[in-house]
Amino acid sequence: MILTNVEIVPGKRIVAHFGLVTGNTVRAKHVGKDIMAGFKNLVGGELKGYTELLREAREQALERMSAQAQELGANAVVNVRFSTSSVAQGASELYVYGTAVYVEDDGCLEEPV
Amino acid sequence: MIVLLLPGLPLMMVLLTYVVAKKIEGAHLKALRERERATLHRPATTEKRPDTARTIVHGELATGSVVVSIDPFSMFLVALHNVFGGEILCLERLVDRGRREATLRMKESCPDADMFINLHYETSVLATVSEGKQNLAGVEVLASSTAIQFGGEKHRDVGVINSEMPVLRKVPEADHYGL
Repeated sequence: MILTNVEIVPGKRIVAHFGLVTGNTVRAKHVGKDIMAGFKNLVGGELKGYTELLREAREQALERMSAQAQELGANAVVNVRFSTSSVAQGASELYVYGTAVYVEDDGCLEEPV
Repeated sequence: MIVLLLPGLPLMMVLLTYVVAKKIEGAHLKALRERERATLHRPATTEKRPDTARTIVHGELATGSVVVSIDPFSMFLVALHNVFGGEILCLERLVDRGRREATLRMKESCPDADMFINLHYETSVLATVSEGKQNLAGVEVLASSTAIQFGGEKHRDVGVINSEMPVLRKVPEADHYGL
């Protein structure tokens, strides 16, 4: 599955549109990570535990969106957008959405003269 | 003696965290400058179509993220600024560092890409709630773009980047902390 955040797939031609596809996940913080983050908060800087947690959550949301696109018969999702929001105490929602399309090779990949 | 020292303990702790935070910030800024210099030939742009006649043969989504937190001294400065108003440089620098780190991670996630187009940043606040009060746990910065590869021989002069314009930065890196 090809994913891009522009309206096209560079080097390919869109031959069919399947409409909006989405994926989301709501994650709460692990108590161990929360304690470590509390210590790290003393000096500021990166909270690696949270970075990793949100990265994994975002990957899962992307996988869910890709699975939805695949079910529709698409082989690419264009114009992918991310959204993060706090939905409950200590929980965040990672939401990703885009347009499912079917792409084929452009057929003219040589350097322009 | 201990009774005399106890009232000053929180202040000493805050000062200690300030010193450690400054040291970590300095090391991070140095590492950022080196890594940015190393990836200058693979520019990231907000343009949707690159300004080049070269043919694009591959494109894929690239993301990079980081969660940064605020040390107690900065929080103290924020509280002061809430009284007098004005620019909060320490927070500006923190979020700026987060954005630069996220951009570099995005570039490093696609080592074969020649250019990153349609760069977007998203900043979200992570908060914890205890006893009905909302506390700031950190700020997440996400950088996302489309990583593209050009056909033909690899060029090192893509785009209009030169060594004099390395970063999207306007915040001074001077050795002062806010006020």
